[in-house]
Amino acid sequence: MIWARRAVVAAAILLSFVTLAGAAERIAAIVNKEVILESEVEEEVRARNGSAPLDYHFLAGFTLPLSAFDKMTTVNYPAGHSVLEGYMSLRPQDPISLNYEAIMKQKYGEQRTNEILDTNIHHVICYPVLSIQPPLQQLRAIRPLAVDQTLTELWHFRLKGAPEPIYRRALGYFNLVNSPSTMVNADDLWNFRKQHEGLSSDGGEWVSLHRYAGQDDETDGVVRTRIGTSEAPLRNYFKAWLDYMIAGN
Amino acid sequence: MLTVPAPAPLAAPNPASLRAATAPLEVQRDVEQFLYRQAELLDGKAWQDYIDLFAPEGVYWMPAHPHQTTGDGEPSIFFEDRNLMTIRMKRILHPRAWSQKTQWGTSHVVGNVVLESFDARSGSVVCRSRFHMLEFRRDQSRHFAGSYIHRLAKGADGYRIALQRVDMVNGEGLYEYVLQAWV
Repeated sequence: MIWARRAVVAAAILLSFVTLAGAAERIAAIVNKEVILESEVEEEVRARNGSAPLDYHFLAGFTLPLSAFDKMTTVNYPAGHSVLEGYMSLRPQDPISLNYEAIMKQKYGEQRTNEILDTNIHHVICYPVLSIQPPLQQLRAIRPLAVDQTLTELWHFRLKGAPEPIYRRALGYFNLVNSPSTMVNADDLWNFRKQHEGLSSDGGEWVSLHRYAGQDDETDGVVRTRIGTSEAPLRNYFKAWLDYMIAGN
Repeated sequence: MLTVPAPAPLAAPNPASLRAATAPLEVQRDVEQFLYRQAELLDGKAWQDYIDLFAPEGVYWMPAHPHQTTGDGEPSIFFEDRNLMTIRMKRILHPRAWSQKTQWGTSHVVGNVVLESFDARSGSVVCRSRFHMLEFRRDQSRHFAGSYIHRLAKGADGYRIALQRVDMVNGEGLYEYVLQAWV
């Protein structure tokens, strides 16, 4: 019985990871020219003012088709951790980013700066409850409080010594994506809530995590997806959980 | 991020310094009617009409903390100009925004309307009021309450909101579900 209850918690937490993570990824994907889709308001603002705020680009990501997500890659490591690789430009060439890069080079030198800025991570899940998005300085701590209660705690960070516009970028993302009035997480949190209800019902004994199972590449215990919407991160998470559960036997 | 200039700083209401401005009775009445109409538009989900209450550079702002005097460069619960409000409206109405498909409704009651300042020449007003709002979503009711401060500009066709500041007494609490529409 206790096993079943824990399974419910773990499944609920994990599903929330994936839905929350999905939202974050959707936002930034618009920088990828292949999948760019403009929102109506963004077009109007651009027509009127010549340009639109970066936030509007984030939001336009909502309209991405599923096929765009299939082009992304997740890398799944032992112990349940996983990374969504950068699919937007890791080195944006706008004036704000270039200024930041120049400051980084002064501080760390050319080689170390390149090492830092070329780190191929868009979003990372640290087993079991951290969801971190380094490029936009966002962190989510997903804290299970009880079998039917989960607290999602949102953080954003100011990079020490970085120019104010870099913080404004993180703040804009936080206001639209992670604040209590989020236009992005709203659907994900709603899904999470419905999953809670579904898992606590008698509706079904099994939760399917089989999407694209057997179609990922595995080398030395690291699973790399070929299709971005593979549920490899969930399978990876549950594998770690299972390992911990049987470790004491 | 706003596409209009950030509004001038505005502190939360300070009860100790509360003084009602001297203004003709009809100004008090017009402001009250404006606030009641605003509440009706929100409860009636007349989102475009609500957005149209705002001046072209008007801003809706719900601070994250009562000590804030601006949302410019600081985290807020809402900090939106008409463009962002329009994006929010389109999201709420989008046929594939599944979370908003669930039947939900609100009821606002606005009272304690005090004119803090009245400019006889321009007709502009700063007013404060208190609200209670009950939201019913799926099988749960949520209760939000707090204060509004409105900076209202008087135009040919009535008042327009230059800045609406919303301080919820439970704004710093946990949210059982997020806020999707303006309070």
